[in-house]
Amino acid sequence: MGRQLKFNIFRYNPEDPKSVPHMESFDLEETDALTLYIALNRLR
Amino acid sequence: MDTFYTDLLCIGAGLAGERVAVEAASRGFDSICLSIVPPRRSHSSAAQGGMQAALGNACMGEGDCPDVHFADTVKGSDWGCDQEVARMFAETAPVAVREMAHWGIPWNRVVPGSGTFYKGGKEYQKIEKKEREGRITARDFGGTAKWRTCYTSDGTGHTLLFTMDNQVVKLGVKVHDRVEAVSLIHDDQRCYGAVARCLKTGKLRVYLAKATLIATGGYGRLYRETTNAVICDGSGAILALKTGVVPVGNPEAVQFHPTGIVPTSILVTEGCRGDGGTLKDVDGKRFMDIYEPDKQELASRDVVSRWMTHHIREGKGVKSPYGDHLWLDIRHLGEKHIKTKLREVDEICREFLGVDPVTQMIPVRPAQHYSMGGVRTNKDGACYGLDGLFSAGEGACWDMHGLNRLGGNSLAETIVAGRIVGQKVADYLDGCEVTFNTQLVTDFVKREEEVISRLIQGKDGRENVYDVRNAMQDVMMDYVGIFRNATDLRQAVVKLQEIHERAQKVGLRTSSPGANPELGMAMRVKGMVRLALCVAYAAEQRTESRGAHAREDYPERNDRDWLTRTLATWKEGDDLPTLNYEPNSQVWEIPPGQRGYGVSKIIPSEDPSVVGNVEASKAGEACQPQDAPETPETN
Repeated sequence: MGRQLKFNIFRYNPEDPKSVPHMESFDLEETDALTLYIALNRLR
Repeated sequence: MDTFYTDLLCIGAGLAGERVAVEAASRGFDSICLSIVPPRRSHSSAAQGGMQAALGNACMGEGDCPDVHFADTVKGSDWGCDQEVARMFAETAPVAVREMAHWGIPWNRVVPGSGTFYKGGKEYQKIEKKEREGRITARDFGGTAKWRTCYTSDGTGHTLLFTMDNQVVKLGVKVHDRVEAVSLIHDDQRCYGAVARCLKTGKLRVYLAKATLIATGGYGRLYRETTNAVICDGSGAILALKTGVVPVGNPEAVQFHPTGIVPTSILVTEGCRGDGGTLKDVDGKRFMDIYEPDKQELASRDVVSRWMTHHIREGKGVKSPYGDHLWLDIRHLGEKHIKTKLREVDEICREFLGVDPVTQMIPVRPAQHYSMGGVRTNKDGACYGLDGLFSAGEGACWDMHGLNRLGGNSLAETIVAGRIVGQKVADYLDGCEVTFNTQLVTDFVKREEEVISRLIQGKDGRENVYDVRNAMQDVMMDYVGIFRNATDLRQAVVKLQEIHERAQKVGLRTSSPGANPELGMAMRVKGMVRLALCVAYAAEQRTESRGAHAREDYPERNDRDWLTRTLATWKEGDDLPTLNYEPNSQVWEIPPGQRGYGVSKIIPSEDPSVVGNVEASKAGEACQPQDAPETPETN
């Protein structure tokens, strides 16, 4: 069992007038050879 | 609505697209390239090994000439290519390489004196001649008679793309990056440009052009495991299918590479095995020496990929959170060898895997690698079906690769086809006048606006776009992969038809304006599923094994019935492509024969225009399948 990783991600869409800049947290279990690319794809 | 007017619209700004634009611009025509990423991030930059051109400067390439290159290309294609195109390609490649040198490519050069090289893990000596000092040198690649692959270290695609992009800047070609073409504007006779979507603002735009070029690369992303970048989603072939009149040639021709790393499927070069690396299973044992006692790990790409898949199916794979894989072991080559001759492999393993190949084994499994098929063009690069539409590069089916591509011929194709097609496009533009029908343009824009609004409002359903895409990729991987058979392919077609239904019901979860990747995928996914159906259905219909297309139920190459090219079109409202066929070559400079590797059973052609004037005795022999004709000599 890998570590529990916590991602704090900045959310803001400048094209959307209703969008308010804020941070959002996501939890993910670490697997072997986890890269940011794989992590972000999994979060999506 | 932002509307841009230009002489030439290039959809795609990789090597082929930029090369065509450069040719048109140097003849004085206004050109715009669209790219979904910054142009220097195009997938062309990922090419490592080099490009083939018969210069014959290296001592191991001595005696090489376009004739030999042509013969290798035809054999590589398993006689599935257009020989007239392959001939033009081989003749032009040396010119294109020297031209690139003139534009600034730092090609590796001949260094005189003795040196060593490895083949099958053994060390050999070679001596480069003094009088060839400083000329463009070459390295060895699979399936070639001579050392013919010109290179700049292991970053040939990178240097070519950056140099080409410098020419683009110099000649004033405009590049609109992060813009995706979503449909071609046409009236079933002629193409007038494209409707595109800005990926930064999410807004639609119109590009009106006298000539339009599709140079969007391959369709690797139809598969879950591919060495292709995320941008290689087959958008050019999808644009063609969407017209209903422009066919995609040989969609079933898909090449797999044995060593994509797990999980990211980034390629590690064939050189690992070339230099003596071995493949191992869950028990740490080699297996290629059992399946292929002769060539072992160095059998051709497709053969090795097939055995690896077979071995994993036998339960010998290593379990991982990313699925089963095998090991590539290069530890015995030693630190010095790995850090110098396999520098990029070392880098990829450390950066992307956290694995040190000097002390650890590399997790690998076969991955989709190259699309031989694409938007069908004639030898001038002009698409079938619509006037004013052209295509070049991996996105096109020109068709010099047939059912299998040789290493080093893909990068070469981008530059050579770009050069030849570029000249033809410029000839076409010379004196070309067009009348644009604004009603037609408005109709096409409205159609896309309607698609977007239905997706955002979920009018057709709320199917999750990523679920649909993943389902498609799983089907392609499991049923339309390396080994193909009637049962699997039938299942694939049925499942993909269900997925095609689901793709029509996609609705967005996020409706935020601007850069919305979910919307981009939602607009694309129906076309991707349709293209996947073209691959699966065409593969089911092709009842033979040729090149990369390996049918377990039809192991022989059938020259009698299948010297043909598939042409797939899509009629709106259908749930299957319409398949037509044409002879794959008009010219038979080299009649079909043995490749010297891979499948050896051949059902010979009986067409005299193909096999040529064979003497009566020889013709008698050729009728017996077990006595397949010898490969003819080429002078």
